Amino acid sequence: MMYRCIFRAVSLILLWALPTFSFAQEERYYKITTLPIPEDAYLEVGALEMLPDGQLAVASRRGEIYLVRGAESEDAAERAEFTRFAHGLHEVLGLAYRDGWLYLVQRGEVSRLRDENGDGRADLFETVSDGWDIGGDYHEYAFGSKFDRDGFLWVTLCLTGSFSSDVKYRGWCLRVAPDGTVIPTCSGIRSPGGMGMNAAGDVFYTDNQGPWNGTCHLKHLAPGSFQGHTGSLKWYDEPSTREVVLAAMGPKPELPKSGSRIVDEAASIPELMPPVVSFPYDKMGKSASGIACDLSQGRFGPFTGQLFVADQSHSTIMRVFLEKVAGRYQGACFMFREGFASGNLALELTEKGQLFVGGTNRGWGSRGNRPFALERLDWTGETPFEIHEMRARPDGFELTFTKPLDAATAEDLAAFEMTSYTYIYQSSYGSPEVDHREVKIERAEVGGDGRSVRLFVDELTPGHIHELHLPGMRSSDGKPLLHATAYYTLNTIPEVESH
Amino acid sequence: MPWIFACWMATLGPVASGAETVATSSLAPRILGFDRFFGAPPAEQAATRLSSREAGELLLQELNCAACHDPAENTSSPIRAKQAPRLENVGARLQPEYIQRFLRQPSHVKPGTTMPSLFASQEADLADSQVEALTHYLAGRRSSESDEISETARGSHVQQGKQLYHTVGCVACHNAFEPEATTFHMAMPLGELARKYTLSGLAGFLADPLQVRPSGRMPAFPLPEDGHEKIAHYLWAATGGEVHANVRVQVYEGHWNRLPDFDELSPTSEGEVTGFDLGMRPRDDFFALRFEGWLPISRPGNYRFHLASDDGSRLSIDGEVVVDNDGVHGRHERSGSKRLTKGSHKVVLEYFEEGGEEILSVEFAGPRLRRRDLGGVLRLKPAEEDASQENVSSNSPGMPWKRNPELAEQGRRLFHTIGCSACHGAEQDADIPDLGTDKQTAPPLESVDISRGCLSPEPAAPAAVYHLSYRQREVLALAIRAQQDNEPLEESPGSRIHRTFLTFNCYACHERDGMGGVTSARSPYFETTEKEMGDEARIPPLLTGVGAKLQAEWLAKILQEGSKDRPYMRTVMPRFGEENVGHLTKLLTEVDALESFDEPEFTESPGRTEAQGRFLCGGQALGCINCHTYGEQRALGVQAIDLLLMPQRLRRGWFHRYMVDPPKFRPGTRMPTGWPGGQAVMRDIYDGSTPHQIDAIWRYLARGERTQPPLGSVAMPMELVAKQEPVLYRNFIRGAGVRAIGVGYPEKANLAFDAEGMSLRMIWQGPFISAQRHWTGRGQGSEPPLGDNIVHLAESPPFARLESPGADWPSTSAKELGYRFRGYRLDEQRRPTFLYTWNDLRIEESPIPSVIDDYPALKRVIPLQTDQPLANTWFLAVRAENSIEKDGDAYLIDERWRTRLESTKPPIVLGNELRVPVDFENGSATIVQEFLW
Repeated sequence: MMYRCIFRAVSLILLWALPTFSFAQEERYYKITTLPIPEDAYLEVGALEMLPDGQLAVASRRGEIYLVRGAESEDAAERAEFTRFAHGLHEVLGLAYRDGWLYLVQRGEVSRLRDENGDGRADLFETVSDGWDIGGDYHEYAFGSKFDRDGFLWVTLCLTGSFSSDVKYRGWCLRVAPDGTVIPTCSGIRSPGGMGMNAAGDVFYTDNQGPWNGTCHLKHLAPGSFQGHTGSLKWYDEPSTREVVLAAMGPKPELPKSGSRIVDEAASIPELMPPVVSFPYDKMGKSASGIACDLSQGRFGPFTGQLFVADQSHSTIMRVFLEKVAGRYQGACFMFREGFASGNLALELTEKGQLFVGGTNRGWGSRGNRPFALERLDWTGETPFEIHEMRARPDGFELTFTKPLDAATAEDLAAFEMTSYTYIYQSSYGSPEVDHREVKIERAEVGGDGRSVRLFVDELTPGHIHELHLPGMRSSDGKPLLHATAYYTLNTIPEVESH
Repeated sequence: MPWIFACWMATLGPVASGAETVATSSLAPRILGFDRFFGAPPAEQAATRLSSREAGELLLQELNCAACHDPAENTSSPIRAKQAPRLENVGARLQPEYIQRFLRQPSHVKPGTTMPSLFASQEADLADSQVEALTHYLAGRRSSESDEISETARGSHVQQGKQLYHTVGCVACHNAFEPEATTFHMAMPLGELARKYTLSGLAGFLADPLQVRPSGRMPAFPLPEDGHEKIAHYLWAATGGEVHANVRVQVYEGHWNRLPDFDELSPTSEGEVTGFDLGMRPRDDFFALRFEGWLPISRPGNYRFHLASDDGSRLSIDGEVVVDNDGVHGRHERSGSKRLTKGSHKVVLEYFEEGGEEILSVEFAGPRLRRRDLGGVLRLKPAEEDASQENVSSNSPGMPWKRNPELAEQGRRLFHTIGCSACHGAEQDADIPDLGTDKQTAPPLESVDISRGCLSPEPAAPAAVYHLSYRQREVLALAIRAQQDNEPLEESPGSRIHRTFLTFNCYACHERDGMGGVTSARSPYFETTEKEMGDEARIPPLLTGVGAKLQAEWLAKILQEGSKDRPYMRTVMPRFGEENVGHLTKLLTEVDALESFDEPEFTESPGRTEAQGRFLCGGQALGCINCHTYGEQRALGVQAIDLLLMPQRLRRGWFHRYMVDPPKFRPGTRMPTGWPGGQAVMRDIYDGSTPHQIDAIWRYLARGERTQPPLGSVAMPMELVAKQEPVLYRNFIRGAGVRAIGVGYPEKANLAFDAEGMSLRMIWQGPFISAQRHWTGRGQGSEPPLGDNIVHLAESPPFARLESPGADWPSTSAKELGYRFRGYRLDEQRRPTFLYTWNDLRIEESPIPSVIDDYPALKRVIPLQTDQPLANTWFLAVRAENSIEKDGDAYLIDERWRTRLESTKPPIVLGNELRVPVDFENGSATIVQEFLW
């Protein structure tokens, strides 16, 4: 199926032209630094973790851990030093540090490593938990999170292939307690690409287009929830797991109806958690992966608290703004930065405001044609003119911007175009965009602060992605938006204005 | 602008010419062994000519004279006379009109047939009425009451069938039509196949000719998939069967996840094709087709449709969706039913292909209609616009066949009275009618007058008319006279083999002892996919000495099943039937025997001998894998016969002799030798001992897929090499599970520990492992060791508490038994110690590599700690495949490797298990196990 995706990457004509200015424009605000991977290392980056001593731990799909000294420095491109800390591990896709141990998620287990004799290499490899099974299918990846506020690691387990869960807990999210016991936390996972937390400490993951996923999504791993793919639900019934699952999750959710729309199904299946943000296929990548949250207090620019999501296929980073409506997260995504060297997979956004990006394109092609890469994205200090936040309102949307607006263009209805659509929620692979509707913007009002716009529309459609184009929007100094498109996943229309 | 496909027309050479134009002499029965070695021999074949007696005996057997004329004595010959076709289901297979014409004048309708005419010398009126009655009888002999429905051959099948017919071996006995129509001197006539058979009847016959013709003169070809059907379509079309466009198709290009709404698209091209043919696809991916045709239904009722496709498809009839098989998927079949009335029904089949394979097949079945291809029976137009619809229920161009029961009963009686049943056998499970004095009988062979009856130049009723040639009559008479005079025929194993080869025309493809072999005229029809290998890749093997070459079981298997051991050879060895040629195994073995052979003895362990054999086959030594495949693995150059087949096929003694001098056994072979004149080229292996080297190769290959392919047979693997320190590799390792931890040591000892089952699962020597499979692409699959001498150890958990020493070792999984993997620790030399627990037992397992007598060795030291020492705790040191023998201070396992144990209490051997009692002292115990292999 990936073959299909790759072919599409080169063959399909984009419905909406990408910004005419290329990432040379983005470079002005966010600069990519390439870290010098030594020639004898083949570092297909699967996970990243900044250690307290300033070394960056880098895990690879080939099962190695490298420590990079000087990764944060100004001259990292020349000076960063790589040393191999461990090898022989099984496709590591999660790294987290705690109390002197480097925790990692391998295919078959959560482990922790330590250098006991101080020679700079790990010599104790402890198994923390192996509370799930692998059957031997390459698809059975295990992604890991950082530690949550309770000291738990979260793990998302890819299905066996695209459709089924052949061995225990494939298609589940598990929480791993400090003593190694696992707690079934969410069902319904298909093919994760990364995990991350927002500023509040809630855990999210990305899932990829396929069965029960019309496109790629960012999803909220609310404990007890069902993320939409039915393949994993069998573990509610299997004798080996049903008691543990019942205790942790409650009774098995009802099966959704294939061919429906996810918000319609969610209306009758309370456990079913619609995606908080959908990444429209091909417009916003094709293979959503790593997630990072900006907690750098402005060192990474004006997007404090927002999430950054990588795309492996398009070698991009996207930006996500989330809000809570009726108790559930939903929000908008925007293109943020293109032009990375390989297929972006792992992200690590440090407190110092540096976003490390690790890539690999083995098995799944990417626009960045290098087989692997480790890069760092820094804010140059200059603020781009961007949509800052996009909130749903009962009768439209409210947008804030990173710079003051040119009031004339901001209230000109010709400056806006909006359509809405969704995807079929179905058991077969993917979905085209369906149920298109032109959304008429009836009024645009610039807010009192001069940096926000309130849009009033003819009708909002719950469950639809509302795709907004602002080609004519200008900042007060006459500049167009760096990225003039926003995609808001409107699962729920708020009943009242809120902040 | 759309372009229109022209109606596909058969452009095939003519096959059977009209009966009238055939000269009388060519009406004589064709018997290929007779024709080649006696009939009209070119001068150079004089040396291999049959004697007149041999030729006459062959004719007696092939014409089955004994069926009517009781033979003089029961010969001891294992070769059975040629039986006539079985007629149990002849009515379903053949068309009545043909049966009638054929019965009336067999040799005129099918020149060369061995079926005699029983009516040639009768008055025309009587003959016609008897033939009509017989036809009604035979046309009614069918196992099921199914309707026939007019079919057209599929264009793509015809094309592929043509290719198959001319390459798989049909042309060894039949005429060729490509590149131009060629009539060989010796060829079995095909006859008017399209007028004789229904299309499905012909396909059914080709799939298993022995069902109908049990004597195996027409053998069964083991062909892949629907090869028989394709050949049937070809032969049917080539002999005048219907091939006309019967379906309209529109072609679309684009990308879809599901079937598009075709009404909103404009086709890139359109045309007319035969059946649901994908031939009009503009490319192999990203296209869609919409087919439209009319299904004529003569019998109303419920019809069931089976739609298989990759990717999506949908079948609609009269505007209603009957089967929906939409979406992107691999080959997937769905079925649906619809009640259809008499008349024409509009069929629409929609199909799209996104990526990967393209497959589309629709079959249907209904009241008195067996499951069959739907595409073949459609029409371009509905019935009222298409005059040919009148004939839907019959295949004959004239009136539909209607069976007359009275005539049929008359025919049935005739069948038994005039002699049909003598050759074709009586109807099973049916009463033979009371024939009274009507039954005609022939004199026994010992008293026949050789100048009269069938042998007379102008035979008269009741004799059968064979249209025998003068020479045929002459040798038949000679053979009969010789039998009457009790002149013995030479009866030796060799002559029996020869006669069998003559009978089954083995000589068409194979040479044996100077007889037979592919003729120069037919040589171009023996093709290969490996032209670089020359004639030995295309000409079936020489059978001189084959009984010494092949193992009896393998020979028997080939004779029973046919074979395709040489993938590069386009011809296939067909199946002639165990009862027909099974006796050859014993005869060939007896006649061709070589003197006995002594196996050389080896001093090292079997695994090390196999490692030497593997090395010898590899790219750094003799390079066998340069030209030979190894299992699924391709060779580097030409793709000669699979190395793994050698010990299964060949006799060991023959292998030894052959390896030293291949051309002696296979003249003209390109196979080189590594032991010219018996002297080994590789001097440093077994001190240059030729028998040891060849036997090491034999032993290695005989170990089959339990060893590893020769090195150098794949693109250089990503070998992980332990230089100064051990290399660890956690991955899917074949033989050690999905949570395997492989360790390669600089000492060239290697192991794989199973972190799920908590057991040391494999040890081996030499190269560690290749990461190629997992470090390229997506990494699907399990990787076996790269090195040699792999020893598989028990899969069970290592420790158990047993109620008695003889209790069964637990078969539950380690996890369920309470085992937990705790990780591993690397020591100063970076060697891992595996850590695991079993309830309160803390176990550390430290493998320690070493080198003993230049070979890698391994031992494991396992200290145990517990706060609650328990009695009856046992350690499972070995689970052998076959045997455990005490051998000094060690144990010999499976006669392949040794192990030594250090423990406070002695180990016990229990069946195929070696168990060690764990003796705790102050809560601790230690077990040491050494592996020598």
